[in-house]
Amino acid sequence: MNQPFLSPSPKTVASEDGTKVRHRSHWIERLAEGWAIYKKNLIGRIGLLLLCLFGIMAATSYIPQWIDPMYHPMTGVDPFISYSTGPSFSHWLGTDNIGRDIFSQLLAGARIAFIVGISSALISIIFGTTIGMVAGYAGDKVDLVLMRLADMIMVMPTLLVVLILSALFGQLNIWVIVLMIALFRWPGVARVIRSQTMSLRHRPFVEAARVTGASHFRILFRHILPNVMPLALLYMTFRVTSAIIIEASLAFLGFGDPGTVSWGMMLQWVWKTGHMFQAPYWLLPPGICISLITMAFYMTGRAMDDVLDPRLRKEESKR
Amino acid sequence: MHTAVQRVSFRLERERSLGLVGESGCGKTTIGMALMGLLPPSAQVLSGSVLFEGEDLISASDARMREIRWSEISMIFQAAMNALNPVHRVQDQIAEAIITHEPSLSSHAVAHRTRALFELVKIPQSRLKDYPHQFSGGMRQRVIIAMALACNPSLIIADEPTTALDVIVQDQILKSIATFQKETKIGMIFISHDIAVVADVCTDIGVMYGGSLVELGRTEDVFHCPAHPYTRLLVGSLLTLSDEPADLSRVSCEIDPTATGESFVGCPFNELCADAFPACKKGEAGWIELSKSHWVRCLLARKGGGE
Amino acid sequence: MGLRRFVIRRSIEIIVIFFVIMTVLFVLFRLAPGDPVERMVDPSMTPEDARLLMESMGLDQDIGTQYLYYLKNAVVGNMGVSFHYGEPVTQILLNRLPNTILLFTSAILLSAFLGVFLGKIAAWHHGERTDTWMTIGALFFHTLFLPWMALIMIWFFAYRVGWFPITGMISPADWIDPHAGWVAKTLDVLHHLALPLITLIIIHFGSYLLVMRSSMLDTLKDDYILTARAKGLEEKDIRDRHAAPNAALPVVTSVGLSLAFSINGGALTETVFTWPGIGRELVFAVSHNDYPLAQASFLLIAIVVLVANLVVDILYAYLDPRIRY
Repeated sequence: MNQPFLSPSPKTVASEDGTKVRHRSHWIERLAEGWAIYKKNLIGRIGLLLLCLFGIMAATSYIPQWIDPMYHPMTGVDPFISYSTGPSFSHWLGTDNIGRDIFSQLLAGARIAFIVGISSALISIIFGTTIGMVAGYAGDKVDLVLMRLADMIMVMPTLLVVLILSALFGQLNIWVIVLMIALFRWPGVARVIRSQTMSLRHRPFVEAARVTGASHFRILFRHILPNVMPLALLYMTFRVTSAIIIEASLAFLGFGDPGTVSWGMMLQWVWKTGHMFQAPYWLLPPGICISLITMAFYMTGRAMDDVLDPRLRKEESKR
Repeated sequence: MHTAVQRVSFRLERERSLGLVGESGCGKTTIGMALMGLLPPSAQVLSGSVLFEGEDLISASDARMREIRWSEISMIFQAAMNALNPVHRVQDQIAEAIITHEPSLSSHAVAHRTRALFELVKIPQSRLKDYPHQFSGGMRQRVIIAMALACNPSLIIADEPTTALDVIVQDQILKSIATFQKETKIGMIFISHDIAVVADVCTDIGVMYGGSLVELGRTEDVFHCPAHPYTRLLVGSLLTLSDEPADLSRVSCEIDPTATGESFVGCPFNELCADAFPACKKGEAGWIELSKSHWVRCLLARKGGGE
Repeated sequence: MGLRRFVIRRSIEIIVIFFVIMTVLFVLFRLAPGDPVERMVDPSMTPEDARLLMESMGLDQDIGTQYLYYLKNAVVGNMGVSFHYGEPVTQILLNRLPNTILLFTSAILLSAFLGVFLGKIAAWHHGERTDTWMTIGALFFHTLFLPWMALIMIWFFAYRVGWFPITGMISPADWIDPHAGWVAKTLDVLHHLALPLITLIIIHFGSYLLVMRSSMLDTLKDDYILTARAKGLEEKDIRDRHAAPNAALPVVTSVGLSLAFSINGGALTETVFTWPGIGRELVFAVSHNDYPLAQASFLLIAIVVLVANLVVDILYAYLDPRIRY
């Protein structure tokens, strides 16, 4: 299809002599551009580094139990140790109160953090972006109803809602937790996407698409979505942090999925078994990890914000 | 580094008012800011002095400048600006100015003066306790004028005070300004891009172009016998009911603030001047006295041109 | 006056939202697996008591009537009897409510003031070391995991250094003593309040600092700051009297937006510090399958959050003259 003015990306570049018009709709180029800017940001680099670190932790979480079944985070117990001990050669961070290896628990926790964080964020982004786009595009009553709904949900404290739901429905499975968190965190994204959509609604390329008879559905997903996508991805980083924290808080209170080992769960164990005063090697690492991964995602998000912000502003001024 | 203003010198006497005219970017606001010592931290005064009643303001200390500000020299800002703090009542903002410079005054005296100021600018007393957003543009400007008069300064710098207002309100404000100036005999520097307004209100006119002062003199002289080609274009661009419309093609040009590098040589108007000749590009004209009350910086004048 | 109309409108909105929440809860209650009746009536009650309770709650009627009973009971305050405590739920919770209000309100107020104060200074020294360190500090504390931070605080300040008590709100000994005056009792409560309060403040002040800082940086570009300078005011006065009051307004909004987050934190803090508030009661009730208590705690917390939102909105409208007049 060679109809340039219907291109989803309104970014066009005229060359010096004004005769040619290039279309940079290829997203790889834009990604490369964004990366060049991102690289310069110190905060972004540190954030990304930390994330890679945690990524490695998550990826290697399968290794310890492969080496020796006693290293399994949930079920592995050291045949010789059945109480909590400090760091040693065979147990780098020591053991918990029934002799399980803390270090492998920590690695498993990283895996869970990524799974919970990213999947929950993904769901709430998909949900929030869709609702935001629909609200911003349709306007009027649809917008009013959706935004009222968003307001109501934003007011509710997510943690406590999941708590009451687990009271009613019993112990929750990790995926239900992920879904619940996502269902309560989409309003933030939706609002931002909505205002972005509203400003895009009147752009020439949207008008052009409408004139040529494109259906609303097509306009939304082929034209508006690519433009709000960067913003959505940015907010995804913030969603990841809140998902991780909520899951950790739930696990800490004892309402997590008992079949998963998360950092919050580890904190629950050290607290409930009364070891918090005597076992710093058990108490400190999970908490540090949660805080660090939160910081890492936040830093990454901020750096992305810097990349996107001037570009967003440039896009606006091109009108 | 970019030179915003150079080759500006003028003298203002008490009870006279100087209108600084020029288009956007010509440096007139910068002069106003420099006089009060309000240039942004990135700006520097490289040379020259500002003598206020014998005292050089450029070399004055911060504390001394704070003393002088408002009590001796005050400012009237553009009406469009958010010059009044939205969360304070207007009477408090005026009172603040008074209290800062005359702390020994009793609150009763301060309130009394605030009321008197409102009367001077013809705002009802009932509006004293209101907040800035409750005023219309014209009334807000009057508040700003009242505030500028609060400490009985010797000099007021008015920076485009009527620009954002509609013509009728503009007329009212100008009349107010003319009235209080006559009553209080305060010196005034009136900065504007509108030469008609300036000619209406001020006793003297200074024309600025490209960061330099190119013509200076009494309003009657400059307005009716403009010597500098730019001034002539400005005056000529004013439409009257009987005249032919003037050729406006060369009057305006957006001065690109980033274009001029270091200080420039020659006449700033050289590019657009219809009567320019080669010497204009190289030579600095210097002030040429056309009469005791009229000077111009233009080689044409030296040649004996002008009306 | 605009303010009054605003308050009325917001109050109605709050009531509607609460109504929706109650209804949703009602529906979920019926949808959940298990017998809804068993959930409200403790199986270990005597049959007569059980029957009386069922009647008062309308559990023997059809679903439509049940709903009406439910609403009526909520208004009247009859939310059932707690399985664990054996007492009417409403009584228990009303007992706990002031404790939560005390902790929650002081935490929000103090962390907001701290954040505003530090944010003001950070923005004023923009680009300098003070600013950089404050921003980093705010970020650091903001990303700490609250329950973990609480545990660390207890470990260090209560256990190792012994300055503060480890749990609870009061020391029973002090309160049982007939000679203890209210001063002693107040000090005792404050002594217990200190650690949870400090923990909450540490976690929350960071976000307020950042908001205030960026708000100040925007405000400093405003024209009335130039006016203030032209008036010959001292820098300190310009910062505190002109810039800060304007910059603080977005912080109020930020407090409102983060109320849900704050309540989460409040519940966690109460649990870890064994502070007898409604948050802790909710956690306790859920883990002990005490449904009447759980449901009522949740609804009460919802009310608290909604009212807090309302208060924040009203505060903002009051502080910003552009809305008030």
